[in-house]
Amino acid sequence: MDLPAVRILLVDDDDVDREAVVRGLKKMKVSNPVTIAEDGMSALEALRGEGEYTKLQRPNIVLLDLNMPRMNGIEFLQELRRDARFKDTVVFVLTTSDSERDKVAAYDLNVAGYILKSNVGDDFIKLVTMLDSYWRIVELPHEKVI
Amino acid sequence: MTTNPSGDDSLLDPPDRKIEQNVSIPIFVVTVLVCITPFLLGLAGVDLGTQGPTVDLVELSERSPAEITDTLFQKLSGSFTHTLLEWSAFCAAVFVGLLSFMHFRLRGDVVTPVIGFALFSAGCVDAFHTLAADRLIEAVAPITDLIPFTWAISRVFVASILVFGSLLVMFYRKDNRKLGFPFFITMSAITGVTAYLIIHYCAVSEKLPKTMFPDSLITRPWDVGPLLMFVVGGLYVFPKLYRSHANAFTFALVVSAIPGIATGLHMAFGSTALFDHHFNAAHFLKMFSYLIPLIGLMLDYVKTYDETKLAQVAAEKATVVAENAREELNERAIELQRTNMDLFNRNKELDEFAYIASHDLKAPLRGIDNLALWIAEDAEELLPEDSKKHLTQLRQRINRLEYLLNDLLAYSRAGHQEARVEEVDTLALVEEIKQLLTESNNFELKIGSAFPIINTSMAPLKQVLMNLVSNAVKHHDREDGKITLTANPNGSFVHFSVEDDGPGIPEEFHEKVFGMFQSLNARDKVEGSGMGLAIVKRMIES
Repeated sequence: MDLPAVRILLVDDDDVDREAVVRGLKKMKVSNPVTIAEDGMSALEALRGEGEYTKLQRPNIVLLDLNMPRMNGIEFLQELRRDARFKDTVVFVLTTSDSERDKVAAYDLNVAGYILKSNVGDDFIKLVTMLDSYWRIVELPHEKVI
Repeated sequence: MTTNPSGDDSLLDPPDRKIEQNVSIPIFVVTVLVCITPFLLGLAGVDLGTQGPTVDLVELSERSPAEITDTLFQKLSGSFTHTLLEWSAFCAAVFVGLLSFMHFRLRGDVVTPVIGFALFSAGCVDAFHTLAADRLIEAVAPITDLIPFTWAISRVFVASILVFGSLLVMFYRKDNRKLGFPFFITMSAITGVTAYLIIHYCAVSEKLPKTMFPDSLITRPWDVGPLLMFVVGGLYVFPKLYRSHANAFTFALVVSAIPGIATGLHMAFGSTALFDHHFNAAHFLKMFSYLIPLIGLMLDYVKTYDETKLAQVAAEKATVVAENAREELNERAIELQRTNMDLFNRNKELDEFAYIASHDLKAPLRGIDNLALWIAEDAEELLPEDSKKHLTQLRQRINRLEYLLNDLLAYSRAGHQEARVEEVDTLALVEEIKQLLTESNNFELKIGSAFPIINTSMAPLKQVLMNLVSNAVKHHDREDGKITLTANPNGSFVHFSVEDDGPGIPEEFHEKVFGMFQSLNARDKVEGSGMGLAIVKRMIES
């Protein structure tokens, strides 16, 4: 496959949690490019190419934390699904919250999966393993013409 | 006290409304004084007689018409006095009859109208006597016999019906038969018919017995009978009736015996001629003896009114008290509700706090854990052995903290999870526990028989049993051991028990181990948050 590697947009306000994902990827020798956003607003900027971000190329997936300042995960998802250019984005929620309400809200906004941070093992190994399998098997669209 | 006028279920035991001594004694005194006044007056020389002047009718016929009329009137003054006194007595008797019915309407006591009607009937005989004496009614027999005889028979009649009527009332009550309307009808019929027969006999008889004997010691022997009857009545019969039937009316009956006796004395031993001193005295005292029951009835009416008023006031007071009590109760209820709401809200706040606390504390905790891990990984070659050990201990304590937070969260939830009641197969439940807790170790979990299917909340029950079995495994002093689970149905309950062959808990710690964060072993020897039994206790008690 000589298609471009899937880009990862990592949206999390906690620096240690972010480092855990990055270290996990490094450990598993996954070299997909990672873009960091600290909250929902920055994530949107990254997708649209606003602010200090250059527009994030497709294909990409989003790893989304829920509890963030300024714009939390659910609000981000709502914005995302309203935007015609990005409403098809694949999002995995990666959060500490195991509340049923959050799960329902996330799936209502068509997340691809809801993952608890406490479940994914040290260094998010299992997460990375899953993602690696995911984009090996799953086809993601490249360009979207609006 | 009943105000039931129907009479059929009238009193078997009338209320005791005895006349107080401070009232009864003056009444007796006054009555006696009134009764002996005519006698005393006579002794003092006062002549109450109204016989009128002796008139030579032949001589009279030669006078002027005005003179004749005037003299005739004077001659008839005795008759006039007699009519006045007798008619007053009759009126009093009529009012006694009427008031006694009103008394019955108020009090429902049938004895009153029985005696009231008896007195009224006697009054009717007296009325006939008066009308006959005034020649307003034609009678066959000569007037000189008619008047005394009708007087005599009226006295006999009134004394008899009062005495025998009272005796009958008491006899009837002793027999425990109800004094109801039938009794009243019977008595009144007897009285009325007798009165009528007397009047009829007097009216139509050609010859009436002689009752006046002016030359004897006992001038009117027919009055002796009634006299004696009034003595017996006043001393024995009427007091007995009053005792069993205390009210103002029966009391008045007792008092009225005094003028009855006095009347008899004046007539039997005093009066020698019509309209003389003793004759008028007797007639006056007879009227007086009708007046006393009348006054008695009126007093009773006042008493009833007062009692009613008092009852009304008491009722109003009671209503006010009840209203106040109700208001207070309402206020308390509202207070209670408010307190309940407060408690509910507090509990909710506490739960939320516990959740948020444990949740928000976990985030940095995980960060700490990761950082410690990364340091250990990245600086492995650089770290001395001690530091490596320290890092391990660091991570252990982080884990413990995580455990504690999780258990704290579980504890705060333990009391109020909505426990859905469903059918639970407890055998399947304990089999699952066996799998979860003893598959991966050397412990043997024996499951007794008799694990029933019951209606309960599964989650708390499962948690409780799991905590207990897990404790049994954790705190065992060997690597293997035997745990026995049994169930004993006991009426509407099932008694579950978890037994193990481990070291057990010393008796002095039996209470303590159910506290929070309590453990009997050093933390580093046996990993546990110390919350297992606390959670069990909270679940069971909620």
